[in-house]
Parts: sequence; structure tokens; C-alpha cells
Amino acid sequence: MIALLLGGASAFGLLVWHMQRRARAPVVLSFARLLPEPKPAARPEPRFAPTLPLTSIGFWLRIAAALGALAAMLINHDVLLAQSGEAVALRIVVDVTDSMSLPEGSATRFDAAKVVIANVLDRLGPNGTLSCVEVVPVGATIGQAGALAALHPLPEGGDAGLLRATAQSASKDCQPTHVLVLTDAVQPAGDWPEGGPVLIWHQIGAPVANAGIRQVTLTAPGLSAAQAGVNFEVDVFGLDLKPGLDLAGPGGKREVPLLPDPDRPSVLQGTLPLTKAGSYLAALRDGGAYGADDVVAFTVPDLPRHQVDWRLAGWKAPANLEPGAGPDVLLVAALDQITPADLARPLLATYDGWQGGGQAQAIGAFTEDADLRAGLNLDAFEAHAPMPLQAALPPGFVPVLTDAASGRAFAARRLSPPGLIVPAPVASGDDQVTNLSLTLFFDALSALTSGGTKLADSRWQDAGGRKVALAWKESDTARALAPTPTSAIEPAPRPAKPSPLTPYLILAVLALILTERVLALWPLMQRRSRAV
Amino acid sequence: MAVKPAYQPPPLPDNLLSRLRLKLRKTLPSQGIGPHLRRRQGQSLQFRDYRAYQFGDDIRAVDWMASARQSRKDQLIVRTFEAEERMTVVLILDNRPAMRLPEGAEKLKFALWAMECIATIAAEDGNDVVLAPLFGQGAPVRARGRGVGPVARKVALGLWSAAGAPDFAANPTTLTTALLPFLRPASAVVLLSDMLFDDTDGAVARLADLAQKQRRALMIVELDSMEHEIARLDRSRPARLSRFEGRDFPLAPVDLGEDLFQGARAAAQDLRRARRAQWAKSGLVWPAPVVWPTADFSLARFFTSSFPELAILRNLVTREGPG
Repeated sequence: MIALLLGGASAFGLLVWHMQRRARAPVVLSFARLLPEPKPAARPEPRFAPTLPLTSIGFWLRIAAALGALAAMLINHDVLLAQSGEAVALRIVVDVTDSMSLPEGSATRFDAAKVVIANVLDRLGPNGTLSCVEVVPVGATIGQAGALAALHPLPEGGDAGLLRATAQSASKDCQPTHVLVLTDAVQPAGDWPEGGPVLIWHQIGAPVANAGIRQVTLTAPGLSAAQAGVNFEVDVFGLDLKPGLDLAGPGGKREVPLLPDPDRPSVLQGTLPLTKAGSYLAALRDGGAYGADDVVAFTVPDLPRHQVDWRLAGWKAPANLEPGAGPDVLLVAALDQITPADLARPLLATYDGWQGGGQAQAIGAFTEDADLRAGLNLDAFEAHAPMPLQAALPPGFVPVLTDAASGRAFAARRLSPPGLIVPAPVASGDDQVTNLSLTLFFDALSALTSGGTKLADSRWQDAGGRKVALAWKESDTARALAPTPTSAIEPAPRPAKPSPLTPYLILAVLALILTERVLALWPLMQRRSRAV
Repeated sequence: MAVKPAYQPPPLPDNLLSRLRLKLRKTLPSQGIGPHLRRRQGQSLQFRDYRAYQFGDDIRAVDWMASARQSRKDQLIVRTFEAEERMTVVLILDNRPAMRLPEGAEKLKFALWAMECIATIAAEDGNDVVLAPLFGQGAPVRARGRGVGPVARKVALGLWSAAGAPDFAANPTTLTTALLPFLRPASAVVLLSDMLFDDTDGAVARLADLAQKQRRALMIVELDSMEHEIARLDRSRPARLSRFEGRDFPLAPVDLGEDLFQGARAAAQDLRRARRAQWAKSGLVWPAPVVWPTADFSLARFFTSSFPELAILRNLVTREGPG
């Protein structure tokens, strides 16, 4: 937008500049002394002449120069410059995640990777075909290119996607013809870009069975949940591995029963109720080859009960909801008592639907709402339906259950802030009506006070206490090992080198200005050349 | 244009000038009585040079022995002897800023080229040459023989590249006073000018009078660029006139109508007529002016074609008087 404004202003300015009638240079005549007294001009010339300089080459050259200068300021783009000759420009992408420190023979996977690199460089060096080498370490993030000797595995997990992205990225210093990736991870599926550098994915590390804690989640208490719970997911890679899980914390040490996930055979799940907040340590027994994913420390924060601003006459708030007030606290009240300011709060509003008892009424359009209709039998509801809400729905509420005859809402929901409107519960009269009203009301209350499940603040570590960030990403040590790549690194045409576009734009602008000046001076130059 | 164009040497090479001199001499009587003395080959006993026989040469001058040594038996060689006369040619150049007009075809450049060429021709016969500007503090320079060419070039360069941009508003009337002593021994005085200078105090007229005393000749090379300048003007739009040689013009643009230039033509004609009448003495040679073409042209080509036709050349290479 700014570019358009600047471009438009430049073009307009140039147009005005072209339309102005310039004062002529004073006339000098060698016989001026002999001229009679001249008469002033009969008609003074106007300052601007309303002519469009569309056929003026100079005008278009100036416009082009102005736009070129604007582009040089605003465009940040690289162009690819072709390079001649053949060479090997090698980028070595080294996996420095924690699993590279696993034993491999008498050394580690990382040491094995360094041996591979040394062999490759030995082969390429003497031929003089190696134009440049760039070693890029990749852990959880892409590290700075540097010397191989200074690299070592880092206590963090990573993924193969980042390795591939690093292999694919452009470089200003050493645009590669070949990329050698050294990792214990499996090469991600996907086509390598055509015309890109030659990719050699050298996988290191024999497969070894391993199990690791993948995820810890906490379930907060809601209206119906008496206690908070903790849920574990354990990944098992490789056969004949039957890990066990112990949880140590404020309540002592307990064993967490692990059961296979019916949908994911390699995943075990376990759940334990939690009664106390505090720090917990979950540890796998028989966790396999990689130890840093076997122990997870996490903290269970205080899980306060839900607060509710209860103003519903004739009914007391449930015991596990704490009384409260404030803009974020759930308000439970009759709809006709709610002020406009209350509408901005989480809200459960009731209307008198069942005060006159139930009546047979067909249900009209309704929205599937699992939370609201968790225990509601719609057949029973149709036989003893309440009166629908006669008043207009407050702003933001949409019907979720309506009367077929009038189209009015029995119940309505608002997403943000959360809100529900249902018939008020009744305790006398027909049992069916009482049951239906209580079910619908408490389904609504439960839906608005549900705690949900959250990821715990998990910190992976090994048995010795060494912390490893995102260690679960390193758990799959039992993946199949790809065969060692056999293709030799042969010289390839040098890849195009990225170069900023701005200098070329400035050069073009200068050329335009020079052309414009030459054209402007051309008549004078011609006159001079004729004169000599 | 603030940038002063460079000075190029005359577009006529020296050998062409020599041929021109010979041609002029062939077509004119070799003997005569003129008002000025000059150095030339003659009948003295002082041997000067050998040269090829030309039609009109005295048969007594043929050196038969030298001719016999020639490969071409029909080629006769004559001996030439120093004459006992010698001539001093004074070349005065109008150096007013107005002579730097019109731009691209400057009268001053033509005049400087003519000055160089005339000096070279005059020096061929061993004459003394004096070069001098008409106005200002410049000092006349005397040269002789082979020294004339370099001196004339140096003087031309000096006059062309006078410091600063030309001040067209100034009206130079102060004569180069140091010039007067050089006139007395002179045989011929050549003035190169557009003849439009202001001579209200009569200083140039007195110079003209002095130059014609004692049967000496004053030759005028008049350069007229008036019609060329008028033709080149864009007269479709009003324009301001630049202050010129002390003459002020209105600051507002004026119409460049035909009546304005008719007036100027008439004034110039009157001025030249009056000047011719005032200067006319026995030694005045004032032929028709060199008139600049009205269309665009090359000054070098114009000079090449018009210089050999200058009427005063006849008077310079012979002893003819104003006749």
C-alpha cells in the first residue's frame, strides 16, 4: 500500500514537473546592441501547459527510474546467479540430539558419524574438487555452522524433519552441490526437490529396543469429578519389552497400571487419581536402551474447585462448587434477573418452562450437543416438554433445542464467554418432569464447569538426573537401519548463487538516469558536432 | 552554456596554405608597385633557394647544372634570390565577448583560424608578423619566419581561453594601447571583426587612420553572423533579452517579432556604411563580409570553403595595393 502511494506520488510529481512551462534562457545576440527598443510580450505565458507528455521518452525514462528506485527500497529479494564449472560444495548436517550419544560398538553414534565425515573429506580433499564445506549441527534447533571438532551431542531431542529442512535450505557462503546428513533418525518420506543438491542420508546406529514416557496429562476436577487424575502414555519400540511404571510423589510411591491403547498397539496408557498437589516423579522400569526418556518429573498444581455465583432461588449450589463472584465466575440465575452487565460473564440462565408441568410437544430443529444432552431422553422430553422460551434470546446465544410448533428455543448456547439457557429445574409435581428438569439443568451446569485435560509440565531425565529436553522425540531407537549409502560424491555443476536484487535495481536506475540525460543533451551534442 | 568549448587548430593544414599561397601568386602578376614593403624572392645577389621552374619565371634564373642532375630531364630548376624588400603584417583581432557568438559557430573561432592561417601565409615569405587583440590589456606579439606558426597558435589559444565565462553585458571600448607603436613600420594591417563594436570615442577610427598613413594598407575581414543568429532563434515564444554591451533590456519577456530584427538590420547597415565612409582613405581594403549561412552548418567546413576566397589574401601575397 505504501509502495503504491509512493509510486503514485512520484508519478504525479513527474507529470506535474513535465507539464510546467519552463522559463526560456535569456536570448543572447551578438548584434543586440543595435536592436530597437523591444515591445513587452502581448500575452504572458502560463506557468503550466496542460499537455500530457505521453510521447516523451524522457518522461517514461524518469517514471521508470522513480519506480526502479522505489523497488530498490521496498523489494528484498534474491536472484540466482549461475556459476560456471564443476565442484563439490558439501554441506554436512550432523544430528547432535541426545540419542546420538547412545553406544555404537565401542564408541557412540556421534563418534561413528565423525568417522564417516573424516572419510568423506579424505576422499574429496586431495582431488581439489572440494570448493567449500559447511558443517551444520541440528538438535532441537538449527545450530550455527562451525568446526566439526567443536560439536558434541546436546541434551535435547529433535526430529528428522528439521534435519531435512536444514539440508534443503539455501546458503550464501557455500551453496551446496551435495548434502550429507548424519543421523540416527529415519529419512522422512517426501520427494527431494528436482535440481537441488545431491542428498546423502547416512543413518547411524543399530536398532535397539526402547520404551519411553511420551506424554503426561492432568485431568482437572469438574462438577462430576471427585478428584483430579494423571494420565500417562508410554511408547514401546521393539519386541519383548514389558515396561512398568512407578509414580512417586506426595502420596507415596505407587505403581501405575499400564494397558495397551486399543488404537495404537505400540502405546501403553495408564491413569491414576491424584489427591494432592506437588512434585511427582514417574519412572519406567525396563525402559530399554535409551534412558533419558524413562523418567519424567512433573508438578501437579493446586486444582481449585470451580467457583459459582449462585443466584437461583429455591436451589442450593452443589457442595463441590465454591461460592464466588467476579467477571470470570460462572453466574447461575434466572434469565429475567440478569442485567446487561451479567451477559458478559460465563452464564447459566434459566426460564420458567416447567412451572406449569410438562406437555406433549414435538421437538423441532436441534443441534447435536453432547454435553448438554448427556443424560436426556428425547422421547421422554417430547412427552413432557416444557414451554419454550418466550422472550428473545440474548445476543450471542443460538438455539440448540427448539419447539417444532413455534420454532422457539427450549435451550440455547453461547460459545464465548460460555453460556447456556435451559428451563429452570422443578422439584414438585410429576416425577417425569422433575427428573427431566434436573437432568437438563445439571447437564448444563456440568458442561459449564468441566475442567478438561491439560498437558503436565513434564521434564524428562535419565536415572542419574541428567535432564534432556523433549527426550520423548528420541525414543524410537528400534527403527530399521537403512543401508549405508554407496554413491560416491562426484563433482557437479556449481549451483546458482543467490544474490540480492537491490544492486541490480540501482544499476538499472542509474542506467535509466544516464540514458535520460544523454537523450536530453543529445540535441546540444549534435549541434556542437555539426559546428566543429 | 557555461562550459567553454575547446579550441581546435585551423582546419586548413600548412601544406594546403602553401599551395594556396602559390596558387594566388600564379594567378596574379608577380611584379607591381604597392604601398607596403615585404620580404620576397627577388633579384638581389643573395642566394635564397632552389625550386622547380614555374610558368612566368625568368629563364635566366634556371640553373642548368642543377636541372641536368634531375631524374626528369624536362624538370628545370631555378635559383631564387632574396628580394630586398620586407613586409610587416599586423593582424588585429576583435576580441569582444560578442565575437564568441553565435554559440557553436563562434565568429571568434573563425577569426582566430583566419589569423593563424594569414600569419602562416605571410611568414612563408619571411615577413614579420604582429598579432594583437583590438581591446583590453593584451600585448601585441611579433614573430618571424618559422616562429610565426607556434606563436600564432599560442596567441589564438590565449585569446580563446581567456579566463572566465564571457561577459556579454560589458562593452569593451578600451583599445589595446600597446598596439600603436607596431603600426608605424607595418606594411599591412588586417582587422578581423564583425565591425559592430562601439566606437563612440573614435579610438578605432583613429587606429584605422594611422594604419593607412604612408601608403600602408588597412584590410578588413568582416564577419557577419546576424542572419544566422536570427534564423536560429525560436521566435514562437516570448523571451527575455540578455543585457548586452552596456545595453539594458526589459526584465519581462518580449516578443521576438520581425520588426525588431528589421530595426537591427537597418542599424547595422547604417553603422557599417558610416564606418566605411569615416575610415575610407587611400589604403582601406574592405571587401564584402563573410556571411554565416542561415541553416545549421559546420564552422570548420565553412572556414575551409570561405577562407581561400577572402579577397584580402590577394593583397597579402602580392604587392598590390587597395587598388
